[in-house]
Amino acid sequence: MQTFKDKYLLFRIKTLNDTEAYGMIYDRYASRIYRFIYFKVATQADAEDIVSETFLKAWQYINEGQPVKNLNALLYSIARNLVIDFYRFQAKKKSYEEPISIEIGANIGIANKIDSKQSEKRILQAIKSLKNEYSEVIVLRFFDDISISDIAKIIGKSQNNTRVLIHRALGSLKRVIEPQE
Amino acid sequence: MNNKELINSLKQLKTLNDAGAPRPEFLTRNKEILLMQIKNNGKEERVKITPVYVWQAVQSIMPDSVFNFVVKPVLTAMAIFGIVFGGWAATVSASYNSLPGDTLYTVKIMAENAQVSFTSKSNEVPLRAEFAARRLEEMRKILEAPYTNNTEANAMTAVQDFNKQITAVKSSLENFGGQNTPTKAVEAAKIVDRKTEEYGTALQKATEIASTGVQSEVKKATDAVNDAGIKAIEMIVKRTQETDGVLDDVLMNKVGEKIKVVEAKVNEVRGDTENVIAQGATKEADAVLVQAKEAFGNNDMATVVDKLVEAKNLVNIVSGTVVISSSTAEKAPEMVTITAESASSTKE
Repeated sequence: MQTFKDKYLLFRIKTLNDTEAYGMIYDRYASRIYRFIYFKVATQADAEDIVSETFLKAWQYINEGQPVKNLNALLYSIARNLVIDFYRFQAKKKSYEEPISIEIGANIGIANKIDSKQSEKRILQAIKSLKNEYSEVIVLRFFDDISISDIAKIIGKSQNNTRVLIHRALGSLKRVIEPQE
Repeated sequence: MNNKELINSLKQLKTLNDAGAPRPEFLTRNKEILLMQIKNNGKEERVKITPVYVWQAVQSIMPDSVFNFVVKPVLTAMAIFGIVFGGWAATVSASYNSLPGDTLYTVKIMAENAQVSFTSKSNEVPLRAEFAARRLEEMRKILEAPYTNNTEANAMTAVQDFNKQITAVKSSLENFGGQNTPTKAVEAAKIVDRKTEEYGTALQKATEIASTGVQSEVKKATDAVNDAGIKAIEMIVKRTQETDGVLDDVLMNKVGEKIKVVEAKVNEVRGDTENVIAQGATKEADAVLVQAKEAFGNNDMATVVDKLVEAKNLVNIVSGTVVISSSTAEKAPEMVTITAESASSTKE
């Protein structure tokens, strides 16, 4: 869903080449895009590099006069493609289907985990350990509160497939956090 | 544990710094670098606010559904309205320099009439006076242009339109003066007085170059200008005295000039008519003018202007150019009868 402010800022960029307007878009989206990338790559430095490139590519895309129906989806899509490229060329990250029981630990209830710093880190670690497609839909849906339709656009799937993917991602996360259940 | 509990836990996690929050210094530094890079890519532009720009802005900002079903029809209707009335405005603008005989001259006259209809009462007198000046300017242009078959007809149209306008100026002044404070009435009368001097000069020049047919119309126009001028002076004198204002020397001289103008007109009609009754009327006018001069000698300006109006009306009755006003009928009831008789005898 494109907000009124996004539309206004986009209009200023397209008609006036207004860099300040693009700076405002950066302020609105940079943290979210960073978090989306952070859960997909191994290091903070990688995440920061990809964030920088994401906003530069988005500027070029907008400046070429390409239609932007949904700025939110555009930025996440660019970030996602850059992460794919990142792994294609560097092959740094391994995806895990199986729970990382050694890192996450066992026999810890979800409700109790949230209360402690240690538990928080373990859950975040669990998200990072998921398959890319699972971690990204969890971040998009539950951290960034993006609608199913927008997530579907970002990951290039239908809305039904996206719902199924989110359901499976939650199941996979549960199995990582509570492997004995 | 169920999905709901897990989702709640995730939503709590997102507020934590460890949940993928970027370093603030990275965000700031990266923004600086980004803006520097994109500024190098192209210059910022200044855009003129045009209808197309507004249309694009509205289309960009509004939701598609709102734009297509609400804004678009409204803007389209406004555009059609603008084209129709903008076209009218463009036509009126184009007609500004048109002359009698041009296709757009009618549009110009219609636009002026519309302007008078919509203007306030206080602006009506100066506006009509300005339009009268335009007619004279049109007549000058026609007469000074190379002669064609239409020159005389077009000049006649201009001077006839001027006559209508100057009559309307006088009428507007009477109405406005009667309904407003002395100060406002005097202001309006001074405008008319100043304008009548300009008209007189322009008509004099026109007489020198116009053909005989046009000259007779110019003569009528001169009479109408004199009538309006006398009316203006009458209003200035009387309304100034209402407020115990002082009549300055310039105004006194103007009153003296008006006596001479009416006197000249009396002499003119005296020579023009052989009708005995009409000649009697001119004698009556002579007598009124004598009274006017006596009053002028006594500095009784109110009486002077009354007598001037009376004499001018007598002259106009004789020359057949007057519309008999109620004041004329009161002051010279016998002349109304005379005019009717003289009119019938002239026909015979």
